[in-house]
Amino acid sequence: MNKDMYWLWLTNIKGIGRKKTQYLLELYKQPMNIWELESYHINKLKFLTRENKNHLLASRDENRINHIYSLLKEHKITYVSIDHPHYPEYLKHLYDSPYGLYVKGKLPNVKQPSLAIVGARKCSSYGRNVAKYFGQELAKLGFTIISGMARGIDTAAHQGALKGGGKTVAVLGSGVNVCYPSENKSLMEQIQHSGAVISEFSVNAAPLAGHFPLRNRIISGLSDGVLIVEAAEKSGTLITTDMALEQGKNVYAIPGRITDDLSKGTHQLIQSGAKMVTRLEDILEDFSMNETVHKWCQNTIELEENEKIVYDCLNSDPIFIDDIYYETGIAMSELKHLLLKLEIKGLIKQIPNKYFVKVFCGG
Amino acid sequence: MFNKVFSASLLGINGYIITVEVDVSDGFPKLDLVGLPDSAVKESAQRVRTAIKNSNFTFPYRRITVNLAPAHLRKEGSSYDLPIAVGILTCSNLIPKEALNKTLFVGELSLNGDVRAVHGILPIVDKAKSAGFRRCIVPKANASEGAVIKDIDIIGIDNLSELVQYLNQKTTIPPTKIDVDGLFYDLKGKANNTLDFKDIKGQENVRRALEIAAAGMHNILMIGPPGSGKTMMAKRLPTILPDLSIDESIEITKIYSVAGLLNDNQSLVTKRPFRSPHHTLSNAALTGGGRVPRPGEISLAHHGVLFLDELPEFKKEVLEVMRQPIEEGTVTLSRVQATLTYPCNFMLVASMNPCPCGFYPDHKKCSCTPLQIKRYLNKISAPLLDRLDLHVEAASLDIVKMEREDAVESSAIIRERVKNAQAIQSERYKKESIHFNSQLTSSNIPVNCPLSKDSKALLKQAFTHFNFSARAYHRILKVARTIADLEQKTNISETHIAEAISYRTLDNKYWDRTS
Repeated sequence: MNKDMYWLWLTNIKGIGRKKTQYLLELYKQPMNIWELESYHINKLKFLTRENKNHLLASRDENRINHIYSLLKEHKITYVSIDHPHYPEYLKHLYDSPYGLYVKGKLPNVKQPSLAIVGARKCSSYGRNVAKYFGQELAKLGFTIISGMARGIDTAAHQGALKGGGKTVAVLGSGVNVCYPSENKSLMEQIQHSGAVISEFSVNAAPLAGHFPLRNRIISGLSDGVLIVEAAEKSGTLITTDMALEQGKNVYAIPGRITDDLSKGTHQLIQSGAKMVTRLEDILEDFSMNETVHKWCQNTIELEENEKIVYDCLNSDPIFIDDIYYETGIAMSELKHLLLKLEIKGLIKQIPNKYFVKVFCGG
Repeated sequence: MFNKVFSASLLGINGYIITVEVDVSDGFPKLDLVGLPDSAVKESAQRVRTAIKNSNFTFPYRRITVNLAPAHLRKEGSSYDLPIAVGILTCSNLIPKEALNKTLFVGELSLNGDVRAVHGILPIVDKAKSAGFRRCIVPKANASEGAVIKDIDIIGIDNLSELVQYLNQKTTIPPTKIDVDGLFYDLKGKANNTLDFKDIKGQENVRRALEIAAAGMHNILMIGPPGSGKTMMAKRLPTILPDLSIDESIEITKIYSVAGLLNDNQSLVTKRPFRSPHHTLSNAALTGGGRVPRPGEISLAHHGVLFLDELPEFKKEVLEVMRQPIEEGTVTLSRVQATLTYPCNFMLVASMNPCPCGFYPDHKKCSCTPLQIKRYLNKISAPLLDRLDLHVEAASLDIVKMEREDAVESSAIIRERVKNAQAIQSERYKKESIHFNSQLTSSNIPVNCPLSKDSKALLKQAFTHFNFSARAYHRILKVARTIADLEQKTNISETHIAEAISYRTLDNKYWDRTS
């Protein structure tokens, strides 16, 4: 049995969680030592219940561990324990580093800068646009984009990174083989190919509410900085921020409008010292990459007069088609033609219920 | 003593001549009714005896046998009372035999001898005329309904003694005559006044889509938050459809007559039907059903509008049974007793909310998860969605829009445009078996929907950009054809294509929140 296997064993004993494992390790240092403990030693441990002890003793079965280990391999899941050479250096600095990570895909290169992009699950189209934009552009510049594959901002960030052809890592609050939310199944597969899906929770673990704050510490832990796109006043996103601050990471926040509930959290962060990000350079300068030639996606496409009228009428806030009609006075049939043309050109986007928004392109 | 009286029954919306044979001979006093009668027909013996007695005629206390021929057809309802009574009275020599010549009798008797209204007079009279009858004796309440058919005398009677007097030529009852054309246009004038498109504030997008739907008889789905006026707009849709022709009106009246939904003394349905069944309705109520099937909602909406409010709330199988009738314009119902075909050429108008709570994508009000929304939308199957040519989104109305004093077009103006567009279509399709653009199939689309080079290019671009399916392609062309017809253009331009594409939003990713 190798070191990883001992760790795999120790972190998978029924009834023995993080705290009890920590006590055990304080006493015996290495999981191997615990494996080799005489049973009367174990029976003397006061912080373990009778059941815990029974489980601990019963689980010391080399064949079983070998079997589990080979099953993981079969499913292309790598178990990276804290003693593994590929274990991310950054995570070792945490005071509560995960003892092991289940990895599907390939862990990113440590030399690459990495940025976490997180935000509300129920986000606005503005938030989604921005998350996608930053994900895409930063990935193009070689950043690894780390996020939690949740709905909303997380998903948009991953999608942006994939679109930009860069690496992206999803840290899950469930087992690595469990897709949550289920609609992200194809996204999860794409992430595995271009980067990695990782989790500290055992295979098949359900996405329990309590898992997510724990997973957030890994998101911030793995990254050089955290970009908050949208967050309500009291939200899980702010937990990630707190952890990032504890870990000494840079915190970036995207501003919104003061009336917007989803921007209240980010404004709060900016007030208490987070860096306000309005341009890509705001992030790049902290990574001494400000010389990087960044090509702004400028509006070089020639627009016809009417197209311009319609385009100027839109902004990052969704507008219903009837309102565009009232504002521009262009006949409904003509208007639909213009909107379709603009959409095909990629300048605007239709969102459900015939609302239209400008696509954010850094300008 | 044997006599033959003619009556009629219904098979679907078609009449069917029944011969009522009555024989009165010596023997034990008894009335036998044969010829596959159902219980309402069997009970007619009691009604006939009492009605004859109470009309001060003598009921013959002899052996009476009544046969309803053809015997293999099951007879339903109470409309045989009158022919049976007439047969018995003829056998008693109270009615001259010659009076039964080329005369058809339909009616229910009450115990005091009054004649009561029955269902389905219009199809019966229609059949009588084509079978060569000269005169129909019908309940007075049904006379004006029967009089819609020309060249046959409709005699409306009140009671049995009046009838006997009439048949003995002691009194004359003038045949009921109505000026069908005059009445038709008169009634129509009155019918449309109450609802008008003028009443709708805002909603330019939906207004335009409804006009297109009406012009090409396309099925349409409205999506919008609660209170956005979807039902209100759907109710006004019949007011922008062209007026009924007399033939259409007769066809509708036949269905309503069979279903027993005509009022007394109502001769024609002159308004386009608007049926709005509740979402708890059953398969049978929708398509038609019963032991001997009666017309369902889809047939009652024939030449009119079937409005399904809150589409996802309908039972899935109820929606699915509608698929084939939508395509064919008729519904064939097979039961042990009979196999009937009812027409059901209707325009389907459906409405739904964008999510279970109805407010998506308004994050301030909507609390539905993407999964809930997905599940809600998935209640409408792809094949059904495919039959809805236009998907249109209604906005929630705010006070600003409600108070807007823009000049709004009235139904009459819109109807004029719709009429012109339909005229173009019937001119184009006069050699084909279809009437409207919505009936185009993949085989005749290329001929009828010529595309310019530019519009072809736009269509291609849009397809790659939006990942449309092949079936969406034909829908878009059909709708674009109607839009071009509304503008009286022969060729389909880019603008037409672009607008048609904007009505296919449920086909693609727009409704996937994660994209």
